[in-house]
Amino acid sequence: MRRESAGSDEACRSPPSRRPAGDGRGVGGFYEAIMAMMIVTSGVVMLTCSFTFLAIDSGEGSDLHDAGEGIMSSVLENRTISPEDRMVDQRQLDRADWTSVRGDWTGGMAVFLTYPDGSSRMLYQDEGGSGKERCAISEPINIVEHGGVVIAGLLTVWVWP
Amino acid sequence: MRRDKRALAGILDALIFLAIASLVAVSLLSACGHPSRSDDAVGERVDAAHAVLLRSTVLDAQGNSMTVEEAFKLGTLGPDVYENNVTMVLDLLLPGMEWRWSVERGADTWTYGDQEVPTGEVYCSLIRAPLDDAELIYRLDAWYL
Repeated sequence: MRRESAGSDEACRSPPSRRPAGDGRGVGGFYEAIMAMMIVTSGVVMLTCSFTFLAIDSGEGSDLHDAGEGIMSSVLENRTISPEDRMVDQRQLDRADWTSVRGDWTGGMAVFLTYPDGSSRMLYQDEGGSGKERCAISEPINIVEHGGVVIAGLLTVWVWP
Repeated sequence: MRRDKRALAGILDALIFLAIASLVAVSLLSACGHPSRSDDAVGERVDAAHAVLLRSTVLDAQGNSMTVEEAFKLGTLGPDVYENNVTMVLDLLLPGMEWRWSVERGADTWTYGDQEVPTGEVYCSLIRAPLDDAELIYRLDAWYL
């Protein structure tokens, strides 16, 4: 009889509590959730910051970018190629000395024109350099064609180390 | 009662933490929304594209070429004739940007591209040309998507 009574007490016992020892008021779980939320939020913020700073590192100010800017300036300031500001003479492009515009740059470079209809024309390409990273600089220009026709175009310089 | 206070303090701490974290994330993203493009460089690019557009030539009815700027000054052709040319040129010269180009001549205004300029960061290039007793105003607005 007594044994039955003990068994009955055991059967009626509530399942083991997950509450930490000493957490009499049952607030430990709540603070664990807050801590977990803080850690997850910190992770999200760090991830956002990482993406932001990765986007900032676009290469501007790098040696490659400076080289591209330098070559673009040389092309636009070369009065054989560009008799006026941002005005390229189509007839002079084939006669231009493209090696003179590269300055001290020893890597590879390519210069090409893109026309409003989407077509493009390669003006110069030097396959020097073996680096995989590339940098492109483009500038709006006018192109003087035969018969006094002036069209808009995009001059693009590619450089790679 | 004591337990309620601790719970409320925890919620308050969490809210403060979330608010600070949100402010930091939003301020970083807004400050660096277009990190690779400085305002001056983009402004110069828009000015250059506008100048290039105005210097490009179109053909009149007699087959004579004249610059876009001259064509609007003379008013020899209907403005619809230039629409295709203007669209192709500005789409090429301003990649990744939306634009609106308008020409104001007295009471007349012709607009190309998007009709609505959004609020926010918009780059504007304004070129004024004297025309007899009036003024011709070319205005190019460009913005990133």
